[in-house]
Amino acid sequence: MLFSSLTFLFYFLPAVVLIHRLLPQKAQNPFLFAASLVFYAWGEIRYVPLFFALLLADYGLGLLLGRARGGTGRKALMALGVLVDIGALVYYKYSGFLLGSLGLAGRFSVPQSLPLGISFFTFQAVGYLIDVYRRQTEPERDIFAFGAFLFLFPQLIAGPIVRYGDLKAALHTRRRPGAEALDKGMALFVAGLASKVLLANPLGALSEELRAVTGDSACQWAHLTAYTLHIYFDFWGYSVMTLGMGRMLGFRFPRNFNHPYAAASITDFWRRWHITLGGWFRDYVYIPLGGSRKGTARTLLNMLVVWALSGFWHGAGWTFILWGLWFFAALVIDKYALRRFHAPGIVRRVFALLCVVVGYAFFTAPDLKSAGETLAALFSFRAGPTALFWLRENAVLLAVSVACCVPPVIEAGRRLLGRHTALRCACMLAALLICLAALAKSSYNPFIYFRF
Amino acid sequence: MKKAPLFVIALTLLLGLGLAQTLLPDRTFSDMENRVLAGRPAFGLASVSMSRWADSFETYCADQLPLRDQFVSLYTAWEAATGHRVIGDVILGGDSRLFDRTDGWKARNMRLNASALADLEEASGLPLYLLAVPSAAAVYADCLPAGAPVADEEELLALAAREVNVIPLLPALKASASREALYYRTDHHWTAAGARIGYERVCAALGLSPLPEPALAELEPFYGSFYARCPLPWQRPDTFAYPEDLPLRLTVSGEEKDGLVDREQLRGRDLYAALLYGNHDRIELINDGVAEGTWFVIKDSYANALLPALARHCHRVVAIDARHFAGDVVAAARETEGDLILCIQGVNSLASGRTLALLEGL
Repeated sequence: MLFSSLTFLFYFLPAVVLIHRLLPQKAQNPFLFAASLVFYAWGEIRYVPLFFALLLADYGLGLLLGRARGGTGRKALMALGVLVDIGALVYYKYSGFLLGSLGLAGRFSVPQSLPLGISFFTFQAVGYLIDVYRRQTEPERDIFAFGAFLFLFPQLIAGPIVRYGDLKAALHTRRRPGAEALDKGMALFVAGLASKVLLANPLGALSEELRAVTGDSACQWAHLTAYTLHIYFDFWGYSVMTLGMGRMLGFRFPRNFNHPYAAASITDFWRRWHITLGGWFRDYVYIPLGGSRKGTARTLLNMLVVWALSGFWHGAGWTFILWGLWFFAALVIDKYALRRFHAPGIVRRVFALLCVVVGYAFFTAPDLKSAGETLAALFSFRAGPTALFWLRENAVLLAVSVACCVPPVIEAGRRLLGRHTALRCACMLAALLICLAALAKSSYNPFIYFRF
Repeated sequence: MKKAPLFVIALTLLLGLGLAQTLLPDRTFSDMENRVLAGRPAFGLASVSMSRWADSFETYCADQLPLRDQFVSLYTAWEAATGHRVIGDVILGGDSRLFDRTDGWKARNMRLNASALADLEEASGLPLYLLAVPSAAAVYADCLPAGAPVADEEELLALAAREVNVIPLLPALKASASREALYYRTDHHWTAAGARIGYERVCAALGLSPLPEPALAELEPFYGSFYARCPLPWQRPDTFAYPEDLPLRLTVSGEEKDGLVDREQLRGRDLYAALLYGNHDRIELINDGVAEGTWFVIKDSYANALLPALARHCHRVVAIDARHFAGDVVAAARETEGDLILCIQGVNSLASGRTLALLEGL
């Protein structure tokens, strides 16, 4: 079920928010767990056994880790847990790619589709087990609370990747958000929905339109720029909807974005983009490898490992690995050249934006050949009039999108709407109505056999 | 309510729409979309069917959304208000004109279809003429926004002319475009005035003298296929004109009809589909006022505004629609024992698909 589907908006969300609010504390976690199960099963019923298998494995291993005393035994339990979660992720997400890369494609049967949200909830489970192993948190004994943590529907399909410690307190209190939290939550939800439906979707369509004009330099630059905005408003929109639903259910999820395109450098960009994933790699991969404490060579190696893995997390393909390595190179240049030699701020900003935009040539390409063709087209400097037409056609959309990437603009809007309740309600309701209209139009399909 | 106004109003709106959707009777047909809408799916307990049921339920919710047409219209208005000039592959032009986006038309399709017609001419032994009806975008090019995504139809017509005898039409349409409305604003078809120019061009090609134009009946408002795809609330409607009564007998798929126009269809939205009762695999027009002459016509819907006028010049017109006709087209042309073959097709039919090239017998 998608947050931007009518089933979710008309039935699921209102029912869950209202019922959850009325329930006593002991029934809230089982209810949220059941709601999350329905949410998951709605589109992915065949993966419900996997859902329960991982739930029971992680819950049980968490309890065992909490009880175990010996260092070796605990380490083995933690390793087993990581193996189970990452094993499930590798099997479902990467087995086809790995077998293909080893020349074994077709010899073994591999899953044909990816379980919804598996990249997020497996990472969340691994984080939980490592935190319990490190004794940074106590294991969760209430299986419904644990289930609600691991599979909580607002963050199930697109994060944020939440640490158990961040939700523990909320999972063990009576969650009855007040009027302010409900209103704020709904405002965030509508803002996120508008970001997804009114900005990201048309930007995605624009990006695809321009991408099809292969060989045209201006079109390919415009395609990647539109995609840069599209992916941000899509992901940011989902994240903000998650924050809003969290508020309405009595949770406070961590922010996943902090105006990334206003970053002062590429290093700063990755502190602002998909913050919870960056935090996960920092806490569970980079620092355990030694971080930056073991000299330049080891730091570079650690960065290389983290960025190759980060790229691979985004997709099972060489293009994604290259995308990760692209940022490794960009971060090395930023850290060891631009920052060391005190490059002007504008240079680091422009460098960051260029790295992000051009990097999507790898991210959006179905294979390395296509990525190469896009890159070649970018720098061919051959351009027809097509890009200009589509940029003019989408001038308002692009202007609004760019403005929404600028922190002072967002802040001014937030302050204005915060001061005037009637204006806030009017704007948000208008946005909600236009979103519903967009969803209606997306399913509108005139059958025009008579068109010829 | 006072403390959480947005939460209360938004949730009431969402719940209200959900409740209305549940309680209101389902619509079975969308006139605007010309399709049957999804009904409430029967719930199957077997878990394997759950995902399919969920998908069907999503489709049902989208199809049965309360005020769906109004919501679609609202979003179309939003798109236009935010500067879009291409909405639902319809181009918003000057003078309230809507146009088809045609940049996806392929020269290869035109070549293949024209080549199929050349094969038909050779196999049947009958002279063949092609009347390729350009789109409104080619005729009213000055109403298009600069750089609009449209095909070069003159180039496409030149490709066809390499293979078959193409009756020149586009220059005559362009010459008259400023004087009268040759195409509907809200529909992709030509008007009775446009079809009249087509009729005169065919007469000139065949060496016939055009007959006087019959009296036209008018109906309004007419919101055509472009409007169905791009329902702008402020769109100016068309006036639909059709020939009232001509002394011709029409047989559609073997059934003789009462008159040339489907009166039932004239009560609906898509008025153009009333001409010759819409599109069918085979129709015949019999003119008892002329003793001889049989023409074999391969047509699409553009011909429906033109055929009655042409049928006044011969005894019998046998017309097949390549999209619906399933038999051997060469055999059909021979069996007609006609004098000539006339192919009346929109350039869009010829360049957007390979319908003629895929006809059996070619």
